[in-house]
Amino acid sequence: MKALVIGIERTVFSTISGLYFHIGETEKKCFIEEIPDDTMVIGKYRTQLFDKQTNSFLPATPGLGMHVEIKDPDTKIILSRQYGSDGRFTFTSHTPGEHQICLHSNSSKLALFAGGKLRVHLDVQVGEHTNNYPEIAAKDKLSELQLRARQLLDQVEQIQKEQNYQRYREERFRMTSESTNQRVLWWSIAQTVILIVTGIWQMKHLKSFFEAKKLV
Amino acid sequence: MERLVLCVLSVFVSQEWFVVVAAFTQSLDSDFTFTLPAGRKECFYQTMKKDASLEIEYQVLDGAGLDVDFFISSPSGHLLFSDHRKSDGVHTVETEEGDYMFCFDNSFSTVSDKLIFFELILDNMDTDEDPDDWKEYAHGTDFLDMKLEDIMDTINNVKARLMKSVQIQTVLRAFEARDRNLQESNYDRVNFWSVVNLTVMMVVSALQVYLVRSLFEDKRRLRT
Repeated sequence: MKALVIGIERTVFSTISGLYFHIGETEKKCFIEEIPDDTMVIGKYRTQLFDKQTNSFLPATPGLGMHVEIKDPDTKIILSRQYGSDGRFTFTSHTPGEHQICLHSNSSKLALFAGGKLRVHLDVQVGEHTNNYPEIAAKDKLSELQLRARQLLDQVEQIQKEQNYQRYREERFRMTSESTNQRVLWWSIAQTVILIVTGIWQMKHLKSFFEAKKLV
Repeated sequence: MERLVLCVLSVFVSQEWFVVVAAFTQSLDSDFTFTLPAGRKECFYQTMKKDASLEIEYQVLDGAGLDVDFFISSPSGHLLFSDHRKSDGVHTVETEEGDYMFCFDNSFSTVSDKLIFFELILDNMDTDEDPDDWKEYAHGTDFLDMKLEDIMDTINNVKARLMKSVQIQTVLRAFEARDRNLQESNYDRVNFWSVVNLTVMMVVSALQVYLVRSLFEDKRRLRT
């Protein structure tokens, strides 16, 4: 049981994949995740503050947090919360489309930043990758083979969901293309007709004008 | 009794083989999509171990000419690859220990923001703990005979193929997003210029009529 608890802890806090970037004090970094509906997304981040004295990055400064804001494809905010210097946020999509994840630091204490930079390690897991298999194994009492089969099933289900979403997007794309083409066609015809009609009207009007002024 | 011992032995042997096979199929990847404002440069860093491999693939999904500058440099500051105003690219690096930096540069553009997608595929990172080593968490024992290794091999094979499938899907998604954005900007452009065209035609037409009339007006006055 103890091994199980340690194991779960390890999985959650261990390898935040190693990708990091620097963020300024008032800077807001946003990432876009395009996902099908009913998909869970878990984001984990870890921050480090640049210390001018030691000229290196210090781990986990307490009191320095990050504000996380998540918008759904209709630009409605579905999550807007403050987290500590290490945080974990999660949401599930209800509509398919581009969700936007924005991070910015909430430092009110300027002294902490002192014109330095904040290093943010970020890891975003989508869909099947969010499943915690050791936990599932414990809950459903699965053997290793069953657990592997379960993982494969989850993966394939995720792929299927993505493909369905892709089909829906391709349909929208095709509708827009066809609508554009139709508009181009009808507009060209309308332009030509207007041109001809305007030309004829011009000639007729000028002719009647000249006749009225007794020039012709 | 002997059969029991043999059974138990085959249990240990098979499970070890399984762990060894699982270790070689370790592959981590992450992808991000972000907006790069005009005139800005954004850098990302990735910590690597020695003798691992880092593959980075990027695409510009939206924004004017659909191009961006890209470069990647090693932990020692040595520039490894540099792309100038490319729409997409793939680079693989055999890594040493340290933090690799890769940057997207949109300084050449003054007005248009670029939407950039990139994907990192890390291989052979062989972390100390194998995240897929679930022996400790799994309950119960599998009833084993010698055929189980084959099943395990097949499962690992399928898992590797599925990972590849997911990577291809991500690439296709990026392509589709780019095409879609291109088409939507075309649509806007066609609408806008059509309205402009119509307005110009009306104005020119009215102007022509007015000018010709004014010509004659003056002449009449001159004559009388």
